Amino acid sequence: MPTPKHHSKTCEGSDHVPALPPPPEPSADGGIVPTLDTTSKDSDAIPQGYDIDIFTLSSVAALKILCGTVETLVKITGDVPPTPPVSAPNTPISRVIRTPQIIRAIAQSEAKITQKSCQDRPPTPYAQEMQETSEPMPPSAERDTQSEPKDVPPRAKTPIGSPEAHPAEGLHIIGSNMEPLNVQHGAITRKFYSKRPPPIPLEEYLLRLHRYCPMSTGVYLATSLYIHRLAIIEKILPVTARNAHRLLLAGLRVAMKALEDLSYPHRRFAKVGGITETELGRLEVSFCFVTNFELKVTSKMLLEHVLAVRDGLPLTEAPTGFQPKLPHMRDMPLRTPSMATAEALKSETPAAA
Amino acid sequence: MDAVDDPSNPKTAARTKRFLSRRINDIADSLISPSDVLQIERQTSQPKPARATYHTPHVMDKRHPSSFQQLEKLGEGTYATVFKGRNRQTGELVALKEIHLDSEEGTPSTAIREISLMKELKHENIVSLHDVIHTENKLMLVFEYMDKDLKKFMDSRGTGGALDFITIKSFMHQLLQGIAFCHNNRVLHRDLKPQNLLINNKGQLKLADFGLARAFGIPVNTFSNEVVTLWYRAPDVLLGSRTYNTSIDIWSAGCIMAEMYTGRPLFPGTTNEDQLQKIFRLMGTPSERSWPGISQFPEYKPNFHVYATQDLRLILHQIDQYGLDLLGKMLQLRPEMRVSANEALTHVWFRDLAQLRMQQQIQNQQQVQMQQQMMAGGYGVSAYQ
Repeated sequence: MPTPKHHSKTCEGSDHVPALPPPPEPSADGGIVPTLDTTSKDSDAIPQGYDIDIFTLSSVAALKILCGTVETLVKITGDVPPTPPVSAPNTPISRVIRTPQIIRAIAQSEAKITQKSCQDRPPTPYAQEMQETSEPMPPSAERDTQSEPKDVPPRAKTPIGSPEAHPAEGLHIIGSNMEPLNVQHGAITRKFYSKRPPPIPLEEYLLRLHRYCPMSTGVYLATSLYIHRLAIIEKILPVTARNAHRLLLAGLRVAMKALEDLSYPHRRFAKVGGITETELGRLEVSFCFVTNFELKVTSKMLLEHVLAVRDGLPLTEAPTGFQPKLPHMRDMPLRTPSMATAEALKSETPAAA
Repeated sequence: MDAVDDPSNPKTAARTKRFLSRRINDIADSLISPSDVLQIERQTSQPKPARATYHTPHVMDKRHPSSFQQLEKLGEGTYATVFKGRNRQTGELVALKEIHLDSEEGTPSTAIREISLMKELKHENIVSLHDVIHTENKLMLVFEYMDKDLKKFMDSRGTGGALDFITIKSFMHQLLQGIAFCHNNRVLHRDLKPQNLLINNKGQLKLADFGLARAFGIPVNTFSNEVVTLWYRAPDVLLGSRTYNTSIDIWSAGCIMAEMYTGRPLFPGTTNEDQLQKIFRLMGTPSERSWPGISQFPEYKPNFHVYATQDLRLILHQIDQYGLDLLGKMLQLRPEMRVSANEALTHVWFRDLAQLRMQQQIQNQQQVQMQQQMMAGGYGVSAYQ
């Protein structure tokens, strides 16, 4: 019997126990490279009837379901700018890239925005401002720091500048799992917006992804389910022509990491998706937080989703009362996202205002 | 007060003040929050104005990170570092698992899985995930605090790692309950080993580390067989199977049960082949007759050394008849023959568990009373104060 080196943890025993082997690494398995068969077949049509077997559904058919879901969502939503709540300043929580200086700069620009939006409530220029700030932070941050004295502590100017910093919100109580993240959803969702709708149609974009990074039926359906849930069920994110591409890319990336044992190298996926690696990383973590890490799916959930979206019924008509706008962040520290939205809708009606 | 330290003397007063401020700084350094640590780490890599560091917790990352006080390091894994922590509001102890967000590969899939699965798996035999905090380039997972893992617990017994039969039965029951809950929720753990089972001072056992876990029964492309730490890896996985199911967790549980009896791993293999050989030497080499279809596995070799089946009692002297029966059902070579977690929980071996636990409780109480009489405190500092 081979008796290799002494186990560091077993003391006083006269017997020799080898060291615990390293933990396994599923992605190191060389034998699980997915098949690269991406040619369209007859079976790529979306099947009719109610006896769909998602285990025999081809990945391209699943891709088409995903594409259909997102296209329908874009159609019913129209072009909704990443509207923030009127009196709530922009506080994207891009903490991945945030440095202390940028934080200060943002805190100051928040103060300005708050003042401006209190005087008059013009949605359009404000939305433009959002557009600018949802672009890479440093330029606007620099500009703001230049126009403001550097030594002013940010808290002096913005006592409760951000709605996220509201003292009464009872944030980070342990056990209130993830609750504060609902508050941040508005800020996170802005990350998915581009200035102009990308020129490539969604289906072409997805087929391009599928050509260079083929993914499985499960990954396509799960992404469709995540986006549908965000837009229709939880109503925390309107899907428009300006954010659909990034949402799809981030959703697919996250679904693949969550459901498969192997995912494509970051670099490859970013390149095929047409964004930088840094942005992919940012979108990925944003998608995780906006979905609240609710990424586990079962075959039953996927099947129900397919049946629900295939005939387009819940999508072609927006549910009554659905306003494709971001809810007020101020109204969001509630138990569930759906409750938060309901509350936000209430406050948006003229009577409440 | 000493004459030298007379506060009325301006020179001494200044010195005292300097000394005090240094002391305060020392104390502040020892009471850092995770965010402070992150700041400091980043500062060392790329220097930043010191003031900004102190402002940060108040401005942006003020909520979550500063509410936990980071204590000593508990362990380091391949993708995470675990610290002990304390909730500043409640004083509750927590485990803080810090995951670096790699700019090369983005968020580790292990982290995405662990969070998404543990959010759903709320059970008394599964470590609970309280919160996820995103700071700078790290994710901080806040878990309930557990005192030690099963491996350390066994090593601390002073019996060469072996446990008493009541503890084994209690731990096995809790382990199987945790596994059954995962399986009922269509989740495979895929890395059960003593180091991933956590024990607290109340004698509770909980499954931890779901970084390799995955949901099963969905139409995906990739199913790795590089799963489960070698010693606890089921023979079908070792033979190259990619269609394994819940039974791989049961094999691991069987290996862990045997290890609790002896204090030593049951099959401490060094390579894939060595691991299979160690299993066959004890359980007997399978053949097409005892395991129809075995020759179809990718790693099957027709020239496996042929061993006869050994009696497990030769290794596990202390095991009773019922325990042996259950262990034999878990350590079946053929995956489809292995007992399920739900079935195992109804095994006759567990019938007297409640009674045994009560006995043990009474014994423990008596012991505690005796200790208190003998040592009058100063011993057994609970982590739950």
